[in-house]
Amino acid sequence: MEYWLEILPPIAQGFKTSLTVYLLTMALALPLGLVLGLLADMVKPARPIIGVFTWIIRGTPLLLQLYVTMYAIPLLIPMRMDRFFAGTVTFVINYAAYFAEIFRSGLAIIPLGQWQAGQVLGLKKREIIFNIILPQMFRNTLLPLINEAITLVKDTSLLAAIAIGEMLRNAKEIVGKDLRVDALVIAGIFYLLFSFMVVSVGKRLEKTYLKQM
Amino acid sequence: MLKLQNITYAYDQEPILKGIGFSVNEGEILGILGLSGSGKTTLLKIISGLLVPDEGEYLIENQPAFIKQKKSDKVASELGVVFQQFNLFPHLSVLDNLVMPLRLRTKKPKSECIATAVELLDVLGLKDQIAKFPYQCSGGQQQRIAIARALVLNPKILLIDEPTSSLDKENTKKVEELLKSLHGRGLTLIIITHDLPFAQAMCQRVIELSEGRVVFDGLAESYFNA
Repeated sequence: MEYWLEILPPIAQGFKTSLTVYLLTMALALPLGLVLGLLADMVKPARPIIGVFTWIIRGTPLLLQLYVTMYAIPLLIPMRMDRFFAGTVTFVINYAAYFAEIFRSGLAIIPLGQWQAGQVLGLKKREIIFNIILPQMFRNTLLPLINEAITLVKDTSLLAAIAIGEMLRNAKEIVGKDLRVDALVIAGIFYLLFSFMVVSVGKRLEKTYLKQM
Repeated sequence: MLKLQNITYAYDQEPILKGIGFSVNEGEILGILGLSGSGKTTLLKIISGLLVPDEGEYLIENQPAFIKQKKSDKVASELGVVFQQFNLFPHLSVLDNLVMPLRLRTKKPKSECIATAVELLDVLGLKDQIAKFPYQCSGGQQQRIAIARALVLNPKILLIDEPTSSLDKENTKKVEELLKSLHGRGLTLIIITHDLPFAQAMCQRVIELSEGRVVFDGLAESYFNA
């Protein structure tokens, strides 16, 4: 127990970093993904550009994207890349691509009749989008979005690859130093609790918004 | 109150409507009949402003329905549309299906819009359904909700597409009575249908479409007795 209390602060510090990247990714990637998803669905010329973007991002490993942002970009454009910044930006871009596809598919399954119903009622395009299309799109995409939110919890461990002191990296260092596995157990408990919280929020959202479908 | 002259429309250069012309007079019940592929759906979309005709003139209350290829506000204010699939908003309660468009269109306070919607739902026998969502209602109830939503903006004309296609005999009778009572309150009805017995029971005047042209326009009596 004493040992656990001793190793807890660096692991908790790492968790704080993981949590910060998680929250920033969700806060920035969701609106960015939404804009890209809407553009892909509603603006024809934007479709191929967004298609290429999502193809590249979804077709390459997140780990590779982290290396590119952290190590390859500073070689091409001489600059000092901040690790935390590089990690967060990569996560935001990666998740925005996934979210864009989720939103696009959520829009695609809304029947044309919903648009037409809004049109014959004399609603303006903006009113149709905000009052008819987007609420239905959010309901259509809630479950895959919750899945992505859970995946992101675990993906934050990839930040270790660019030497960011996130939770798993700190735990691994403690294991290497003390030759005891306790730190990994504590990190595992943190991940489980974190995932549990995300799942609970997801279930509450499901209960609230999916009951009428 | 509604006049179409020489309306043409083509999908991918294939002509669907080939010079349609007719008018709808105030207070009448007009049936638009025709087989599948006769152009009924395209005509419905043009009348409701969802499609702009390639050529021809469409006047509603003597004003153009399309101005510079855009639907005029007059179309939505004069015309209520009930789709064959109803197209109710699944994420909104029955009440909100009416309140949302009413609030957006009239900018009236929410309480006033709710009162108007509740009153209308009551008239249509739907007061018990107001808190439900569309999926919790039967096919006949969904159709009445769609009619209520089309009427909430107080149109003068109700355009209704295949009103009996998904209804059993009993509900067909109910919708017939409902439409007749709405007509009795001064509403002009345009009914697009391929259900001839229903058209015979409902319509005063009939237009038959065939291959994109009007092949009959006259009294229902002479159409059905011919």
